[in-house]
Amino acid sequence: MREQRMKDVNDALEERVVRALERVPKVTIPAEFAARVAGRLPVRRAFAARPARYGLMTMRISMAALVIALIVVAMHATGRSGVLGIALEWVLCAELVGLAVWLGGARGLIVPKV
Amino acid sequence: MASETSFEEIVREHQAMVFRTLLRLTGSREHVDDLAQDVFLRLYRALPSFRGEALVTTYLYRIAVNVAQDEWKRRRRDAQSLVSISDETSGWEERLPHPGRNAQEQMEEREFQQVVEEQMQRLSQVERAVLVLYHQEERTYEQIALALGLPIGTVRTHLHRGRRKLRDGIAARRIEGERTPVKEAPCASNG
Repeated sequence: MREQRMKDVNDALEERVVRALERVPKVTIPAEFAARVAGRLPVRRAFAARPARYGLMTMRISMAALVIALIVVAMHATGRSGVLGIALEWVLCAELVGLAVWLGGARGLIVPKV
Repeated sequence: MASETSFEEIVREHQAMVFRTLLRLTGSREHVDDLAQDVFLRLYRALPSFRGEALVTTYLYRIAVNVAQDEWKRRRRDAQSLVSISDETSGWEERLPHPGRNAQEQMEEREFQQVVEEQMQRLSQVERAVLVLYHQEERTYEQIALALGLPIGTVRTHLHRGRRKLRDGIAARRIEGERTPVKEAPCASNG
């Protein structure tokens, strides 16, 4: 009997505590608080997005090297150079064309459209 | 400029929540403006790393709890009293409206609310944060766990433990309050 009464008292207290916890305090927010906070925001430095030119430079150097290599191979080409020499010429030519296409595409990306 | 405007909107949208959470966590109206400002400035600084995995509110709750903890540390350093019911700046519970109640009930309710607030300040920081987020802010266990960086089981434990401590503290205070006049009577008669 007494235990039951104690339990009832505890339950009632628990309920009251929960009600008190659930009560939302009334707050007074200063006028223009949001504007004041926005005015105090630290300035973020905008970073310049400059495109790096290293890739472009490498492409140009590679193309020049390929042209020189092609000329050298052509100068040494004789009737007995065989399949290996022709294959080398073709590979170098393909690389040159590939680089030219890539360079053209890259330039198209870099130059801004007005 | 555009980012400032959009951030101002974020502040306006969440300012009430930040104010009431800080008020309940710190137990005082003192410096709440400054603390709220600190919360939003921290949010602004954290925004570049905000990956959108959680809601801004979850982020804000976490920051508010951290700011409140820093405020407690500062108060401890300054050796100020943690709880002050007579403090004019605290006592938000006195401003609570109680429509449709008589004066006696209202007064009792206010007193009870004061006792609850007082006992709240005696809880550990994490228990207080969990109670405020769960009861006042109506967050789920998952949201609280995310905001405080705790496992859900730990959140549950803190919630139950916090409520039990509150209940025991209030009960102890009542018993103490009932005993006090009895103890004082013999002294008065002796004098």
